[in-house]
Amino acid sequence: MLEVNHLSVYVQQGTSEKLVVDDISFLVPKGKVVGIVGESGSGKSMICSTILQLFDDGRRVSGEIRFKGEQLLTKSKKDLRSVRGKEIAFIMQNPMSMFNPMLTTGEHFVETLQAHSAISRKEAKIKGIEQLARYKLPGDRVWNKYPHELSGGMLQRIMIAIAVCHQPSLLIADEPTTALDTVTQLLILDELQAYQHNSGASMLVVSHDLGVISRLADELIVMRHGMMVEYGPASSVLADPRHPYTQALLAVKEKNRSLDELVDSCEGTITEPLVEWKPGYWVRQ
Amino acid sequence: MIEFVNVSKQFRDGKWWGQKKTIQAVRQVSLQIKAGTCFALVGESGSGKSTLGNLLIGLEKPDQGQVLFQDINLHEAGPEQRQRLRRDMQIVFQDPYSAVNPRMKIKDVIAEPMRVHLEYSAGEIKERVKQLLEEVGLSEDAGEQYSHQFSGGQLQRVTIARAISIRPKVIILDEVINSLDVLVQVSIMKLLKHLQRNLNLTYLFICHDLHAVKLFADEVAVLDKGEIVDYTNDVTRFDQLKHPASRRLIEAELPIVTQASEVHKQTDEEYVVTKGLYVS
Repeated sequence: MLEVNHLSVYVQQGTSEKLVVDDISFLVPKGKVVGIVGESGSGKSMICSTILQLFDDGRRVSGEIRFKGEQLLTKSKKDLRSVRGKEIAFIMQNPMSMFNPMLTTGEHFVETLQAHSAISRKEAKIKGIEQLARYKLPGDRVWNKYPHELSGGMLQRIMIAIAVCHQPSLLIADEPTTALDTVTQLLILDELQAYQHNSGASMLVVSHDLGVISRLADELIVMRHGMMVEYGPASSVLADPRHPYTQALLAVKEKNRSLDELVDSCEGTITEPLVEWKPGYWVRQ
Repeated sequence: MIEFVNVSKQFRDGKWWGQKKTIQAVRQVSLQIKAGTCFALVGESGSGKSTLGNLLIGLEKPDQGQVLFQDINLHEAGPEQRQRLRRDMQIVFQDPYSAVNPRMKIKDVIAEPMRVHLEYSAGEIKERVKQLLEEVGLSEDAGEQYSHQFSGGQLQRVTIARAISIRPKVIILDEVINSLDVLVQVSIMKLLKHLQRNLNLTYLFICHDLHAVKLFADEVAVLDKGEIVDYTNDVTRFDQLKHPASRRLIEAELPIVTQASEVHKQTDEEYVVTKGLYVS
């Protein structure tokens, strides 16, 4: 479905360039969920926004990204527009800042629906409320509400409802639950999972929380300093992590650990090469 | 050391016209916090846990009930007594970037409480800032920098240094670790534990992550819609918490699932989300 080959991203900083994503290759197969976990600044969000090229100048990208066999990086802006929101949907971290505060939920819905299909406002409204109802949201009540009138959890659910209204075949979720409290987080994860499960779409999920990722992902990528340190089937990575950083992350989540036992930093530069340790399981060691 | 006696607090919904609604943020809350312990308040957002923190520090006044600190009613104390009490209590917030003045150098950020509360000379303050930076694990030249030059975890260390600068007895930790990376969370918790032992601090730990509570706190109370609905003094035994609100938090803990399909298996063909939390 999605194929990322030797992707590197450089960001302009003053007069110099900084390497923020360093030679990343991975695959999101059809109907599978790939999770990326890493700390802030590890380049995980950069990968997501590079896939849809959601950035202005100031970034240099090398490598290739293929979606259904087509090169995404060389596509024109016009061609990209037909992919964004229709074939590939994007769910972002902070729902509060992703909605236009001057538009109601309904207007956001209509805008998205009309962008990719010839549909009248009336039809869009019927479709939109139906879609909201599918996500257990009181459609007629939130339709005319502005973003500031709704809670963060509610907005995130609306964002998901809007994102999936064109039945995208790839869903990119960049920290979909980080801005929410734990109970709402579970609800959002259930909803993402429900969509993925029922529609058979592929999904790329990014989070710093292994608990979130482990719930969704079939394959897992662990990132640090823009590099992949571990990449393999989620069940093997979580059951027996090879890299010290992954081990430290997992230890935090383990039950019956005291604070003193936990490792709180994993410093040092990464020099080891990425090797295929087992078939389909790469690690730096 | 700290006692809430039947404290209630209402907020008015901020509408300028039409029907005014009141929101009961805190309802008849009574609790006691012993000196030198860490008391955790957990609950979903909107359950009133931050309001309780604000009532303790004096940012809000209770509508009913009393907040006692060392047997003195905080909200009836005179201005002088109050300033002395305020010196014994500090607060650290979730988002360090909005808690630090972006136009002040870090050394001035840390020195500000000392300038307000203590009569130190310039030399003494300089010396003390240096010592505090070291205490929270920052280098000395960090004092010359501004807040935007720090990462979230590093800046949270700065706000902790500011909080301990005037040797308080109580620190309110309002979601201090929730916006940080997992390993940074661990390092901040370790720092806070270390400071607690050395300075004999009492913590009110406001959080929604039960896992962090388990690692960090001594006692925990669960808040739901402004009321304390559950309490235990053994944080390793969450199974003692029976109230639906506590169960919701425990279920939301998100342990590592080694087989993603495990989650799928719980449901049949059509996966339906049933918990309509927001449908009121």
